[in-house]
Amino acid sequence: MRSFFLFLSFCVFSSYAQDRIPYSNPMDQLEYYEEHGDGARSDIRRLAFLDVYDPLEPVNRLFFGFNSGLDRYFLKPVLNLYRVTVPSFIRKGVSNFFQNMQDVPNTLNSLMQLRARAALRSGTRLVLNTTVGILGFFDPAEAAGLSYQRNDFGMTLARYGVGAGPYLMLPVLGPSNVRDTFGLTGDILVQDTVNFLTVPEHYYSDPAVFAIYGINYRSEIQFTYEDFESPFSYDMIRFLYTRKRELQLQTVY
Amino acid sequence: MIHFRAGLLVLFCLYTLCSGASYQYPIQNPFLSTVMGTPEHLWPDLSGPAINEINLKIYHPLATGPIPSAFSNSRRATVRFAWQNRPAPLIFLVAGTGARFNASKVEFLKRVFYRAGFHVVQLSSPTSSDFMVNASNTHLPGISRQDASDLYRLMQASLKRIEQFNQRLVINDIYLAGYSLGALDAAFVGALDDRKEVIGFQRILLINPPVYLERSIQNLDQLTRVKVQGVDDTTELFNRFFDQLAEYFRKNNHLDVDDSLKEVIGREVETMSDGELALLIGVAFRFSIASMVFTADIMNRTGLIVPEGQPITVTESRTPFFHRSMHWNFQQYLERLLLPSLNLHRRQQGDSLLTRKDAFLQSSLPVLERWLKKSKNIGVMHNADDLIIDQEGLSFIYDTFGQRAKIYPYGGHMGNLQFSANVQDMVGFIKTGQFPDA
Repeated sequence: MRSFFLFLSFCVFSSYAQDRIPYSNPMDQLEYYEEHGDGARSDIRRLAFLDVYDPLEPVNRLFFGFNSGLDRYFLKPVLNLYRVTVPSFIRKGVSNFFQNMQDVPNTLNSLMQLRARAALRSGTRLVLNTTVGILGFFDPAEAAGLSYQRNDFGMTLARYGVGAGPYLMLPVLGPSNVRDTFGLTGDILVQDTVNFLTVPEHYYSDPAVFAIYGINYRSEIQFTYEDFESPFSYDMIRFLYTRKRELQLQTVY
Repeated sequence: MIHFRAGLLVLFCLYTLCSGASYQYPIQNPFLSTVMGTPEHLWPDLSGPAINEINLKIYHPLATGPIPSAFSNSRRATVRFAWQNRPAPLIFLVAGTGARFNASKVEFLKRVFYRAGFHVVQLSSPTSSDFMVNASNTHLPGISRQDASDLYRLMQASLKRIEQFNQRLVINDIYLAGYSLGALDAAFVGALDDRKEVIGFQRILLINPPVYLERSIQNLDQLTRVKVQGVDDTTELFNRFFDQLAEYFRKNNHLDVDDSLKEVIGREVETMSDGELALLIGVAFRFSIASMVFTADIMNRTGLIVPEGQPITVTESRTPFFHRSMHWNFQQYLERLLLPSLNLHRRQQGDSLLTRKDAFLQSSLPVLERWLKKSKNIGVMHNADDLIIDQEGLSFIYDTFGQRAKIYPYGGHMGNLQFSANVQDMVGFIKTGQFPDA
């Protein structure tokens, strides 16, 4: 009988314990520096990594404001419309098509950087996707293990020692720097000169092609200026862009 | 006797099996869950037809005084409104610390309640920059009682605005939910509404609220001082963190802080220690505080961040002020900016001055204890390993809410928000006033 009472009290106790999950303090699992005194650490004192060479800051901030307005009131609504009205497999096809066109400057830049494997990869992708992938609307190369890798003239310049120069916020196009703006111009000229499948000549002359090109360009970039809803968005985006570019460039050094 | 004992043993085993309530949220490390949230395959199915929604600007001015040129691109308080095409109840959602109405957690909750048949109004946190500029009376957030009255005004203005926007819309009842600091705000709004009786909330749900705000703040501040093995230099550690953030940006060209943090860590899970994760949480919190400090400083012209007389325009560099603001933690904000500025107003109006203790007291749930106990329409969800509370806070929740509290054994701070069982519980409470299996 005694064990019955034991059982009963156990039930009462454990149902109480079940109702009340005890607190397990995550703060106890860590060690901390002292707030003051000898053991103290500099806390978040040195934030040098947030500084980016930006002598044109006032102009850049102006364009930043312009771009976020353009994005909010024009590009985003257009993109939403594009996503709602055009089926995803067509959007994918369009995106593949322009990506395939991009493999022309990718290949050339890899060659200029004397990176044989990267050049071979982009070159093979170009041939395979243009033929088997029906002018690039499909991406069979991806399935064959040759994934897309971006390369641009800015990276070529960097490989030969050209520094980034001042940070730039380009109107419409977004964050960049002086070197990469040169690079972008170079890539556009190269695409125009090669005029692969005679498509690039229509990019800027035919409004319909330009619209599709632009919409696709913007929809590939998922970043929006609103994402850092903070009075410091400009600084965060500037820092992140610069860092992102540094990481990208590690592949060419 | 032996049979009797064996029977008891069987009973005991059965009992243990049944009572070991199976909560299937997979991440038991509180730091990891806080940063990572719920893996997407464990989210509830929220698909359905497109959501009708619009950002509504409140034209009736809620804040006093001119808007400084630094904030010239946000001149009106804004809420996001999603409506059903038939008569439906409406729910207000309040964002957490520093978050705007479009933060990813608010968006998630919107989808949850929209799919459950509600009209939804998303509100920015009183600590977010846009709310501080456009919807706050004092532009000095941090004292819940005062923040609640700002929120309450914004809610009433939103309801009027919604009426203008769609006169045929039918709203049955009004509900309220908030997460993190937004949950604390929601509790104070509820208490205020109980006195003023303007809106009349059918039910209120608090998701992971701070209980004693001072405890929450101290813990979050403490996380920036965490020791991380192998790294002595804070700068190096931040560099590493931002490398990963930038790496994520490189892969995704996407900058949503919540999501990018999640993705960064999601990919680097094996390489991150608890210390590093804790530091990330601390720094992310600091970033919200920095934005708040900067905004409060400009709106009140205290000269603590931006020197007096220096105009801040849209083209002016803010980088030096960013640095300066990042050095402030919440307690410094409270003691050096909030209280002195607020007491200046109060002295002019002949009110008694607030102390640090008062400020924290008026921002903690226990001050509402009696009201919370008797109000059967308020529920709370929390986690037993949430770093913004402590044992005392958890006991307060159990004692005060009783059956209206749902405590999960783990989930960190908001980590299990998107977990399907949690979603079921939150919709269940809002719809029926009790947690499904309570």
